[in-house]
This record gives sequence, structure tokens and C-alpha cells, in this order.
Amino acid sequence: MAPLMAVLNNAPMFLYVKINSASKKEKQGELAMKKINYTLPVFLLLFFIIFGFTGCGGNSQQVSQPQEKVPAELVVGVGRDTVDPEGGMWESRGLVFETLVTLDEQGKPQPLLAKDWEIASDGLSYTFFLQEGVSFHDGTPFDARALEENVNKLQSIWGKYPIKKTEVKGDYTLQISLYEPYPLFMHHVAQLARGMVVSPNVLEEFTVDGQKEGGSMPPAGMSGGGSASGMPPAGMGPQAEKQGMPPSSGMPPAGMPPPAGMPPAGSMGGSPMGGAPGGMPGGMPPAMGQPQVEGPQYKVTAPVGTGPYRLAEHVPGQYWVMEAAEPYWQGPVKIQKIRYLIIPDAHSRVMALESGQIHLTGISPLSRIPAGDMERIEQSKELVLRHEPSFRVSPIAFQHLEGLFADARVRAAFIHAVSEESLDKVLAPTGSTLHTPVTPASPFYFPGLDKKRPYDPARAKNLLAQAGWLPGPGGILHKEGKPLQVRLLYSTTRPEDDYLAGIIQQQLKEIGVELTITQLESGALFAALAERDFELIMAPGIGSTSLDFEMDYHSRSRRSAIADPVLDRLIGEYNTAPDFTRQKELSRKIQERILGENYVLVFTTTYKSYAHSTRLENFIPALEEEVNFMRHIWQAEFY
Amino acid sequence: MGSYLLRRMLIALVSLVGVTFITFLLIFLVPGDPAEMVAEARFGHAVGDREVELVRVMEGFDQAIPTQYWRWMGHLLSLDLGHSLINRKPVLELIRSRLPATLLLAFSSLLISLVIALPAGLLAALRKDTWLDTFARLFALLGVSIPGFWLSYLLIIFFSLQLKILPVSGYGGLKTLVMPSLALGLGMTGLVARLLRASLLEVWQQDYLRAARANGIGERKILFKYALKNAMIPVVTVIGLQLGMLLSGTVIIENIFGWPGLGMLLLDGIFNRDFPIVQGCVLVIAVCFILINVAVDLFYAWLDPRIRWSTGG
Repeated sequence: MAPLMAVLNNAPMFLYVKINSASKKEKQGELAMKKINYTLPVFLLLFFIIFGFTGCGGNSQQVSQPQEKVPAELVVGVGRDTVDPEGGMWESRGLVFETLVTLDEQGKPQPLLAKDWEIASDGLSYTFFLQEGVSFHDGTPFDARALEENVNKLQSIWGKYPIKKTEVKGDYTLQISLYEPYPLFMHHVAQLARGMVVSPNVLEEFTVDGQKEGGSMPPAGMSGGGSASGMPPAGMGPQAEKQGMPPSSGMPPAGMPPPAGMPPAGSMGGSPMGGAPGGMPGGMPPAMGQPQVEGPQYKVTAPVGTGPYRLAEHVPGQYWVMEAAEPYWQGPVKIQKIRYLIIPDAHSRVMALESGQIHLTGISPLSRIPAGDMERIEQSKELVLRHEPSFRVSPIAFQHLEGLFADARVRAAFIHAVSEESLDKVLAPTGSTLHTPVTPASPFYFPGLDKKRPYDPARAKNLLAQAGWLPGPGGILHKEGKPLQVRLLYSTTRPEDDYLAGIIQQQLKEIGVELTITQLESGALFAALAERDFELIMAPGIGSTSLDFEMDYHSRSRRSAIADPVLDRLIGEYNTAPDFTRQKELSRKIQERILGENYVLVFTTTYKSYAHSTRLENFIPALEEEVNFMRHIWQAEFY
Repeated sequence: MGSYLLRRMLIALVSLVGVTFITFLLIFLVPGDPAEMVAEARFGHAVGDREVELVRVMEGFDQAIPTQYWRWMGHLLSLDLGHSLINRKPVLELIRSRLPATLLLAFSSLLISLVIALPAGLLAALRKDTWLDTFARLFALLGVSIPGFWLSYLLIIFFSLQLKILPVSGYGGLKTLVMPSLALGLGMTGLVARLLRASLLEVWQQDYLRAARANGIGERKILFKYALKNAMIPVVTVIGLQLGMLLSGTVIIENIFGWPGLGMLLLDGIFNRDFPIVQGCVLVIAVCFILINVAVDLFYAWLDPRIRWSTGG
């Protein structure tokens, strides 16, 4: 290093000497312009500028070298900074917070912070028997009172349920009573965003008055408020019904991931619970003209949970570090330190993985692995690429209320004109087409409904002919002198949608349909969806075990492309079904209705694709989490 | 000189007002309902009509645009760029936290660019039509032609994947600075080198240099004191413009190398639909450009006194 720097330091001297020697020649009457010789010094300078830097200076992000079975810091490559100093976090939320229960591979609740539970026969009360000896990271014991404080104060989470009251039955026993049955309660509270438990010490009261100025308003999704006791959340209880408020199932489910690559509310600050900043009951903002919420409001001020890790360091825009919060009640934490390194560019993330700078990536929609880079990862002996099933479904929906697609024969014709095999080739290996509104990973998946719709262009043409669309000039079908032209809207957020749109355009052309494809910025796409100003639209996919049919398929949802009174009624019944079995039956009817009416051209799903170093062993992703499936990383080993 | 300076300042002020208006209008130019976009940022993507209407009233989107503009300007004059819609932090604080990284990258890129471009341009002019000139011109052409993002990936492949001596991404220490600086600096190098060569060749033919030679002034002095000063006028313009672009944060390069500068903040703002952030960043970038333009104009006047004489100063 020293000789190199010495040469570099001497470079200006070479330049000086050469100029001096040139000056001597000037005296001899020669034109200096032709004689000054800068060649050597300039080349040396260039060489050392480019290569000199590479060997000197400090380095905060060391290029890691393989080590022999020595536990090491795991570096995770993420696309965005999703940590907020006030306690919100997105991609590492599952390391800090835990839930009462978790779900197994069959979608059945399993003990976590609650070692057991009892559900009343009428479905109106849940009694949780909590683990003993568990503490929050700040030393506060986790017991029935701590959980009760969560339920009563953190309304952006618990306000989504029709909770009537809570009752402490013992130090480690809490009973939660509901206004009405909520069959998915156990499934929902298994998800971090819908049931995470925080230390009561970090629930801080705040005033809603500060909302407008931004002063005391908590980050999106980090609010709580009101009291569960005697105060039903908006849209959940009888009082809400009287006020004419919509049921909360129409609200953003907590932590619902955004459509392809877009962070949800609170992803930058606050956990993306989807709660209203004002901490309104049920996480909803107050209705216009109505008084603000009575009673104190609460927000989470720091990430303090019962999980295996705590936030140790956060440098905004660069990285954050999670370190083991030992003693952890479930056992020893094997990976002591996890660094989340922010690399916004997806290709750079993959190259960082290949170079060894990071060891895991692809853990959320904000850290997606480009499909084009996957082959390279697969070929590497030092890397592992995995695709796990997801709950995310993106329908390409018809505008069935008016115009061309109000005719069911036309909708059926389009479905027969599109080959799912062709689309699967484009979506692979990160996704595929589906034949039902839910993925096989869902507890409400019915194999009987999963019937492939046949690709049959002849039948498609026949159906269109029945609808009055007959061959015309240029190979395009015409009806009453008008060509069969359709516009497909889709968002800029998912790269593969470009190809999907192109293939559909080509296939429809074969039956005489002229499809124009229009790519819109997601805001414009949402606006088109809300106004139902489209003919065909690739609706943004929602993925969650919450199975919120209302958001995707109810007429009052701004994200639904469908408006069908029968479907609305079924979804209403589904939302208030007395038990899980009845709810499952209703979910089947909802799916049958969507499929039977041919409201959707094709469903697609995106897998959870992630890649890691072979040095990371025993990593089991948490399937119940759509966004962050690193909940079980504490059991993994990294050398 | 005083009136020249005053005139430049006045023009800059008018530009600034124009910039504030355009920046303010940004949120209305983006497709979609601004109230819905803000509601979505706050409440999640499944917003209902009620949330949208709530935001419309809370944020004053229901008022006339001029009214909204005056209110926004009122905040701006007290240096209040608003709060992030996502994490509620003051936008000015967020921008301030990203400026050091942007300044470091901008000046290191500029340094690399000048250290390479000035000798290369000089050499190409002095050694016109030799292989050295051809090489320098070719290098300059490549510098101008290669897109920054492509060069960035090439650098990563070479330094990080092949040689394994530099980290792909990060901030802190010289190693993390090398690739983004090179990716930015090399692009600028070509432009500056080509311009300097052309300008120097033109100046070299001027009579005053012949007169200087006739007076027995040494070639080195002629080159550095008389020729180069004049030849630098167009080069300074370009450097000024480039510096403006560098200070404004080069979004793509920062994105590729995970450099936590203004560009990445802007990109985050765009991805999150965090309009106060986008407005704040665009405003700061525009102000940077205006200030640098003023500085370049003043530097012009210093380089070439004819400029200030011609404007009556």
C-alpha cells in the first residue's frame, strides 16, 4: 500500500518535471504545444485514480469472507428503509413482536404467546391462557394485564375486531368478549399486523388535535385509541350499525402488503397496520362532520415486544441492525445479529448476494428478486433460491356493469381465448395463473373449484358470434359497424405484467379482438378502479390469510372491479358467519359466484421467492406472513 | 459589477417563484386524485370514500388552487416544507440528513471528472491529430455515450464480483465511494474533455496569443495564464450545470449503489407517494440549480471582463 501511495503522491512531480523540460525546449524555438509530453504522468494518474482507491480507505460494509462454522452476522438485503424511530417497522417486525397464536402448514392455530385457549360455543368469547415467564424487552412481564392494555389501547390492531369487553380472569388468563361472532378471529390474530403484542410501556397517549399540523400525529398505522370496554369499533358493533358506518372488513387489513412493490401505509414509519393516524375506533378516521373520538388515543412509540430480537441500531436510508434479545423465552437465539442493508436496486441486491456482501434477500415485495436474475442464482453453488406459495392473487377483471362485458357471452368468449399455459410461461418461476380466487395455500381453497378453463378459440369466436360480433375488415370482429376494441389497464409496479398484457393482446387478436394496452401509474389505476372507468383491468393483488373478500370483490370497496348484489350479500353473510365451518361454506359460495359469472378473465398469483447463502441453514419461512416471513429466523443458523 | 450582480439575483428570484409554483402543482399533475393518493399513503391502499373525503378536507384539497398555493407559500417562507405523509418527520430535516451524502458524492465525482478531463482535454488539444488525441477523444466519446446505469453495473461486475475488492452497496469509507463516483464522474469526464479540447484549439488561434509569443512570453505561461482562462468559459458552464445535477442527487446511481443521498430520498418519496417529500426535494434541487447558475454567471464575469462590461456593470 505504501509504495502505491508514494507513487500516487509523486505523480504531480512527474508532471512538473515534464513541463519544465518542455520549457527548456521552448527556448530552442520549438513550438511547445507539440513538445510537452504528458503521456506518462497522465496515464499513471488515470491508473492510480481508478485502481488506487480500491486498496485504501476505511470500509464500513466489509465484503464478507466465508468462515469455518463460526456464527456470523447475517446481512439481509432490502429494498427500502422501513424502520421508523417511533417504533414502526415492516420487514423486521416479525423479529421484535409476537402474536398469541401462529398458524401451522394447514392453517390451524397453534400456541405461541397463548399456550391454550377456549372458544365459547356461541362464538362470543375467547379465553386465552398465556405463557408464563415471558417478558417484553423492557423487562415488563407479559401477562393478562399487559395483553388487556394492548386490546384496550391499541385500537389500530384490536379495534378491527368486534370486541365488547375484556376481563382478566387470572394473572395469565384473559377473556375477550365480542359483540358478534368473528370466526376468523384466531386466524387473524395469528398475523403480526392483526395481533402483535407490544409492551404497555410504549403505548403513549396523544391528542388527535395535532393531526392536521403533523405535530403529535403518529405515523400511519401506529395509532391506537379509545377503549374497548363498552365501545364497539366502527362498523363492528351495534352502535356502529346505527351510525350507518360500514363494517370494518372494508378497511385496510392491518399490514396488508401493497400491490407489487408499493409499501403500505406505515411501511416507512409505523407498522403497516393500516390503522388511521387519528387512532379512531376500529382504526378508522371519524366520519365527516362527526365529533372526534372520545377518550384517550394511543400510539406505539418504540419497537418493544417479546420477540427474539430488538432494534439495536438504525441509520436512516442505510441500514438497521437487530440483535438477539436474550434470554428469549422460546430458547437460545442462534443468529445473534442481523443487519438489514438497504439496496434499492433489485439487480444490485442480487449482485450483492453473489458477491457475499448480503446473505439473504427477497423477504418482502419491496425486496423482490428479478426473474431474469434467478437463473444465475440457481447456477451458483453458494446460493439457494426458493419459491414458497403465497396468498396473493391478482385478478384481471372485466367491467361487467356496462358496455361490452355486460354480456356474459362476451366475458366467457374472452376467457376461452386466453391460454393459461402461455401466461404461465411468462409468470414462471415467480408466479402462475390460478383457476380460483384463492391460492392452494389458503385454508379456503377448494380443489373442486380449481378447474382449468379450456383454451378454445373456436368456442370463443362462436360465443362472440352469438353476441353479434362478426368478422369484419382487417380481421377484426364488428357489430353494427363498430370494431371490437377493448382497452386493458395495468400498473407499472410488476414487470411481468408487461409480458402478460402482450400475450393476452396477441391471443385476443387471433379471435378478432383489438386489445390496446395502457400502463398506468398506480394512482391512476386505483382511480380508474374506484370510478369503474375501465373495460379490462389488472387489479392489484391482495395477499393475506385474512381472506378479506370484501376488499377485492364487494361493490363498496374502492379496490373492487366487481359490483354484484348477490356477491355483496354473500360477503356480508361471510363477514358475520357464526362459525368457521359456516364461513368456509360461504367462502365457497363466494368463489363459485365469482367463477360462475365469469367476472374475471384470469387470476394470477405471485410466489414468495427468496434467495440466500448456503451458509444460512435451517431457515423456515413463516407462511402465514405475506410480507415478512422471517419470524422463525431465530431458529436458523448462519456461519 | 454591482448592477450585474443585482440583475442576476433578480432573475434568480423570479425563477425561484416560478419553481415554487411548479413544485406546488406537482401533486395535481400526477394522475389520480391527490386526496386519494394522500389517503392511501396514510390509511393503506384499501381506502374508502370517507377516508378520501376526510383527507380532502384536512389537507385543504377542497379549496381553490390559488388559495392552496398561498397557504403552501406561507409555510415555505417560514422554511416549513411540511411533514412526510408516511413517518410525519419534517421534510426539511429529512433533506438535511441526506445532504452530506449527496455533497460527498457530487464533489468526489466532480473531482474525478476534472482530474481526468482537464489533462485529457488539454493533452488532446496540445497533441492534436496524434494517437494521444485520438485516444483521448475516443475515451471522451465513450464517457459521453455510456449510460450511467450500465457503467454502474459494469463496475459492480468488475470490482465486486470479479475482483471482490469493493462492496456492491453501502455508504461510509472510500471503498463505498469509488464506484458511484466513477460512474458519475466518468460520464462527465467525456463532456468536459471534449469541450476543453475544442475550446482550447479555438482560443489557440487567437491573435492575442500570437502577440504574447512575440513578446517572448513562455509557452507554459501562455497556456496556463492566457489560453486556458479563455478556453475555460464554456467548460465552466458545463461544469456548473453538471454540478447542479450532481447536487440534486443522481437518482439512478444512488439507487444502484444504495447511496443515501437526496436522489434516494426523492425516489423513496415517489415510491411511497409521499408528496411533501417529492415537493421538498424538487424544490431543493431547483434552488441548487438556480444558485449554481448564478455562481457560474459570476464566475464568467471574473473570467471574461467583457461580460460585465457588456451588461453595463
